[in-house]
Amino acid sequence: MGLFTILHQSSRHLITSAAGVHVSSNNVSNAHTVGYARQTLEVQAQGSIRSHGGLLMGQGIDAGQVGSAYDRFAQRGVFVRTAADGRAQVRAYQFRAIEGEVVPAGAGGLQQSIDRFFTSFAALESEPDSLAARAQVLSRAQQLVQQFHLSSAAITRRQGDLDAQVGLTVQRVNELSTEVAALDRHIVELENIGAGAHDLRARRTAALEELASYGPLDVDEDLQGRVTVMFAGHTIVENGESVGLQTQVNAATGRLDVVIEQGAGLLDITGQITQGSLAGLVETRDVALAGLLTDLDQLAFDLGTNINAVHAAGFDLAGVTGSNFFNVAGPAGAAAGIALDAAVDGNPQGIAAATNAALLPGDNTNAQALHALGSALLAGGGTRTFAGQIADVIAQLGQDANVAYIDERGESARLEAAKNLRDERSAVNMEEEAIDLVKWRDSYQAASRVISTTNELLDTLFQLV
Amino acid sequence: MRIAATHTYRNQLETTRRKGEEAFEAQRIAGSGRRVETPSDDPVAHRRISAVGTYRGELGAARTKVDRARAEIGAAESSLEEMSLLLTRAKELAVAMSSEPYSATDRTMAAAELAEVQESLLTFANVQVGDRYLFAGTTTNAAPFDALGNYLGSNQAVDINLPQNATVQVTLRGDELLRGASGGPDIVTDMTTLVADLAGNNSAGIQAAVATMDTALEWVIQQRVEFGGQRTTLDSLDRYFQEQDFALQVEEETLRDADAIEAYSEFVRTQQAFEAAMQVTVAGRTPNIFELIF
Repeated sequence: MGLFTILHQSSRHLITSAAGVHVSSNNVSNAHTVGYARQTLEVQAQGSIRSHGGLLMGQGIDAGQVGSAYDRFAQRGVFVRTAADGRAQVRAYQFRAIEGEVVPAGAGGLQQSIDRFFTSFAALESEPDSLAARAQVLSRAQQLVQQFHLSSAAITRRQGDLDAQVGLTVQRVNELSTEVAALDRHIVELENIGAGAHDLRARRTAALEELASYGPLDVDEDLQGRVTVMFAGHTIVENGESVGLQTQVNAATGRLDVVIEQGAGLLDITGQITQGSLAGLVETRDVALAGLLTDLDQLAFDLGTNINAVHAAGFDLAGVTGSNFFNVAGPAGAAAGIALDAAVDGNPQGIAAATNAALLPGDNTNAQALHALGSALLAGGGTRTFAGQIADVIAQLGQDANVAYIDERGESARLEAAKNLRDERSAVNMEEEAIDLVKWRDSYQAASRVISTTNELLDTLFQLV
Repeated sequence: MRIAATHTYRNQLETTRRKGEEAFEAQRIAGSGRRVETPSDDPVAHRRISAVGTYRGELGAARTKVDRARAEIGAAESSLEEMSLLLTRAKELAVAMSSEPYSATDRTMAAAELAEVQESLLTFANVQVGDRYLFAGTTTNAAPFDALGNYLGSNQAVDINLPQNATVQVTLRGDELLRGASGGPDIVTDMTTLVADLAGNNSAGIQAAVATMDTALEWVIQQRVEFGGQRTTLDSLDRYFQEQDFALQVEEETLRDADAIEAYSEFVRTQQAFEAAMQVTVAGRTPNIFELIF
């Protein structure tokens, strides 16, 4: 064991200490990088050799592999909670939009329009021959029609927006699956030649986390480090190759379905996407908004047809009978299509306020009958008044929105807990890294001291020669 | 438990966000004074507020109908009062001219006066409120009586419906009032006959007219009392609707509005909590271990 052996040993010590500083530095830099798992330097003792004097002497240390504290099981928990949170966030956001924009409750809203429409018949009852009272009925009717149109258009527009978002999200899913597949290939290549690929793994984890926010994800990793990624139960990444999702227009609804190639055809997987933002978008589009539109259409249809039935039985100021008040077909599309009938549109005298032409113009009995429709149970399958029905729809919307908001907070908390659990194992602790830096700094300084001491010994030796 | 750097920052972020959200909500309530603005704020209360709003609208419409009806009934009542005064004069003339001292000339002059009384009677029978005739039944757009006293209106009065299953008649049938329909006296014919009897100095006819004029007067007074009596009903209903509306208004405000003191206290509390969360965020990572060691 000579002085040069000591120098060689110390140089490996310096290199190892520097590597230790490098690993800590990398950890500190990536402390907040999504998907990054804390790296550790494995230090290996180099065994012993027998010296010239017969003594067994150690060979110092060498840097081994850089390990990762990645915990796949904890990470899987994060994927699951990310998907749930993704769905909850989208649903809550969409309900906020629906509450504020689609069915404006309160002043100017649909319910108030219905109330004002029916109370206008009360004024007509007092003055059935008054053109002013009749004009007010038409004005309120027009406001009601407009409110139906606005609400229907807002729902349809939002459904269209959500459709577009489904398309964009599927596009993003495909980008991410392509990225994951590419990273997979690179990781395998590097690790096959013994190079570390932890940073690529971190990028892959980040991509998978984002993917999980869009839909239910299942990630399986083999011994070679390759991942198989399943999205809503269907493989989208395998053996370094990705399979793209597609969208397809549903013939019945006209809205986008999410499909995947299976064999020679396409398989609709929309119903299997039960988590993630895609699930939130589809549920809002096809359940919440579609249900709301159906309720509005039915209400418009019921109101229009019942008003028409009574109106047609009455007589207008000119003694004409059999006229409709509204033009309405449906129920599907009734809210968007309802309009004033030509018999009354712009023609206040065309309102049939009388039931007996011989008693014109003061006969108000049909106006009374029309007014009475406002308090009759003709909506909701004969269980509600028209105003009561829309109030019930809005109240249910409020209830569903409330649940969505509570869900949002709950899922956010659960995701936070899952990430904390993962980070407890895998993430960077600044105090640990600071102390590691101190350790490697002191180690480096000690190795330097050994080198300088050995150098002095060599100098002494050379001076003897 | 091992605390990673991300733990701390995530916790700070979530806490600050939550406290900010609570502060914003408290500010909204305190600023607007409204506890319930959207359905999700309190779905049950919102539903009840909607129902209250609907019923208050109905009460408002009912009170408008009551006001209109009161105006029309009031006008009709005044007109009937004038008619009763005219019939009182007609009866006086009949009584006076039925006694012997009056000459044919006197009776001729009385006939002329009675003819004017009859004309005035028909004028009051053609009373309008706005452009609606009150004694025309449902033919409210045309005068019910012509100059000869022929009835041109319909044989149906106009009713209005009010909450509490109340129905109020707002016009009268002139044929019932003055032309003997539905068993009442034919006052127009009776007066025309008396005018002719006075002009023709027909003592027997004049004497008989005393009783018919008396019947006519009582009939009109009876109509006035019965028709005008609806005003009492209307007044009572209006008071009831007003009380109902007030009670509903209180209920609506109780459900919808926030208690001002409570709202302000909550606002202050959440603001303080939000500020505390932000200060913790600032202080949380000080001192930084790297600054201490290195």
